Amino acid sequence: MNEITVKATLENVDKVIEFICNPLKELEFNKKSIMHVRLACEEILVNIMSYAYADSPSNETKTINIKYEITKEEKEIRITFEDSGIPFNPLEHKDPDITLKGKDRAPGGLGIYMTKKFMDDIQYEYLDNKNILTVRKKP
Amino acid sequence: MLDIVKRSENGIGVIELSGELDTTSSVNFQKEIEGFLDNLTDLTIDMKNLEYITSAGLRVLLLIDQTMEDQGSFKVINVNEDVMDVFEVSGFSEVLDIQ
Repeated sequence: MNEITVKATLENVDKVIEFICNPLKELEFNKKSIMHVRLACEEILVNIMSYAYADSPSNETKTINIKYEITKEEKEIRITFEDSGIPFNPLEHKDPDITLKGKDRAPGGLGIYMTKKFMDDIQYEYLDNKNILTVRKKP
Repeated sequence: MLDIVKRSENGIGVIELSGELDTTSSVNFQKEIEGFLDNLTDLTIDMKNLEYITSAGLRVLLLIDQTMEDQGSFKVINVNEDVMDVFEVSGFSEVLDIQ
């Protein structure tokens, strides 16, 4: 298990993405799959960093813990994001209507939607005052 | 990192994007185009060297599309495979005029 904890601020996005995606280059993940993992992780991180602690007092610790493991048999990557911010289940978020023309579209919602599309599986639970989001992808 | 090169003449504008249009660089991109779109009747965004785009980038493209809808024409050219992948999954392949 590989693990990193960072402050929930946007300047840490690149650091976490590198932590997760660099090992994938050594595995059977092709360029396209790595882009999918990268995009999904960036969208998840940005959501947490932008909203999870929006109402928290400034002296409170605002961190995200990220763990990943790569299963030996399936060579699948499982990434878990944990934060102690306000409870938010992205799976309950309504999907945007992607058939709408530009003028009828409202911004937003696409990050979570693309995460669902690009990853093989996404699970959410709220446990011990923590949001725990786990995403999985095979090469 | 995102490089933005933009020029306009007689209402025709071209923007060349190189690098990555992610959460951070999209903020800069939006600032760069404020004012630039005024008085344009034709806009082309050349994405030949754009390698990556996130929902934040799509958000700015939607803003441009909606602005240009009232002003004239807007097209996107030279889209690479990874960026097209994102356009397709988000439905932007139908929103934008991609050539």
